[in-house]
Amino acid sequence: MPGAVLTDPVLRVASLTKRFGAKLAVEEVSFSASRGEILGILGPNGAGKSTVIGMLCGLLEPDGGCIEIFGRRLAQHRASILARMNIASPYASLPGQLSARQNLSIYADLYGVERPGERIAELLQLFGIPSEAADMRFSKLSSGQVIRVSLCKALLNRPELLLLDEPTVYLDTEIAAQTRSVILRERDDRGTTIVLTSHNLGEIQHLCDRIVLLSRGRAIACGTALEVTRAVLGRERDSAALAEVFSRAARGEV
Amino acid sequence: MIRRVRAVIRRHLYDAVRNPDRIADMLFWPFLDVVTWGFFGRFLVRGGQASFVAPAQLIAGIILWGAFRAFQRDVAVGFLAEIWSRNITGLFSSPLTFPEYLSGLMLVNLGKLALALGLITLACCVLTGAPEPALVVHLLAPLAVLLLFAAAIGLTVTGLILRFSTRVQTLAYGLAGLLMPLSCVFYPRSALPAPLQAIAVTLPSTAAFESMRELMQGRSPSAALLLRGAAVALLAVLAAAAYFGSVVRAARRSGRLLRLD
Repeated sequence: MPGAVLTDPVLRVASLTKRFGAKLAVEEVSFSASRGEILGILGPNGAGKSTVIGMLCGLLEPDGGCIEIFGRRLAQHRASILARMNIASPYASLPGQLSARQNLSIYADLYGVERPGERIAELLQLFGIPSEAADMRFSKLSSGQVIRVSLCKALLNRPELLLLDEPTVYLDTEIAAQTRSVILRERDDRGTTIVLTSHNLGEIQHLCDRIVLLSRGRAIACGTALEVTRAVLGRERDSAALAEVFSRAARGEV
Repeated sequence: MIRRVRAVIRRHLYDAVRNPDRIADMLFWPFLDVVTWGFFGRFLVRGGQASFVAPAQLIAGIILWGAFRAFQRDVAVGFLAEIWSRNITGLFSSPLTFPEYLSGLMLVNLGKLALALGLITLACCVLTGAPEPALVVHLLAPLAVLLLFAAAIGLTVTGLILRFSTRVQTLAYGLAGLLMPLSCVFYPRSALPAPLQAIAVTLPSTAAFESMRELMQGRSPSAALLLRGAAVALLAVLAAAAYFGSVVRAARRSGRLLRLD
């Protein structure tokens, strides 16, 4: 696949395959991401994005293929790899009876964060969570605040690899824009490698250096938005036609 | 590893403090049970309808059975709480392992139980005069056997929840209760029909309650009985851990960890 071969990648996925009963959810998918790169995984519902993310974060065991993160196989070095990465997903949450601050301090312990109090305060400020909201029960927060606290959790351990599953899905326009700028700053300042999924094509184009386009479990194309668009639609098209690529993938025409 | 186990302990401690349901389950309802039956026992003694020993046995049985049931329930409900709050993905995509999680869960529930048992026993001694404080110390050995067995049941139920999701969550509250008639909490094993005695004798809980009764009647409990109970309970823990491990491996293959609800 064009653009998929990079030297010394942080993440390398080779021939990844997952089957659920008779259904082949992910078939021979390969891609890689290097330090400081933002890689988007794009595809319609049922394309296999969540399955790939599930395998990357160690919750789902592949049936075939290999995942290497930081140069080591995830299956063999699970705990040491997971300590250096993190994930945020709108489908995961935190215990509602606890405050955001308590939840974050528990995750700081799980990830072995140094000086957790300072780090939590820094992140809450970065995402604009006021102190009184941070001490309220998590279940009382607005959906936007919930997503932002989840992003705080995902950045707690200063991850070298960050998995973001639809990071701005429930956020209003302004907070979504702030979140996108935090994602870019995380990459620019710390060289974090970020893998993100989104249905928002504008967001994918704005944030991602490269895109893996999935359709029915297969990687149809991989590269910059322009490369993916041209791979699917032909050389005369520009990256603005990515929406058409997505529509074709959703209709199963690619 | 210690920090990760400590994180699990803190997570459930915060929950216990901030959640009225947990406080009621841990302290209020057991306290009400013990006090009610304590007063009933005192009424029987004063009316000459029972010796002092019978009501004391009743109270000790209620306390020990309550501890057994609470420990099993709280281990399983602790795991259920992670599913209810959709916290599974976050927890197990972190470096936390299942053995670390379960160690934290067991430790925090042991601590909560020790606190609850201390307060309830004290209240019981003050309000109803039974059981005698010195006797409480002797009941620690049967209690240890019961908690080991409760850990095995709690682990099994947790494995069943991981396998079948919240469809089987009622087991978290009720599985230990199914063993009550055979555990001979309030009557000797000889009170059971012969076929049931053969089943009851295999249960660690029966060994614990038989020992409790011997203690309450001023006799030394049979060490062999308690040791056998402890050995069976330990085997049950090992079998439950093996079952749980197989369910975790299957859950990683099937993707259940991603969609438990």
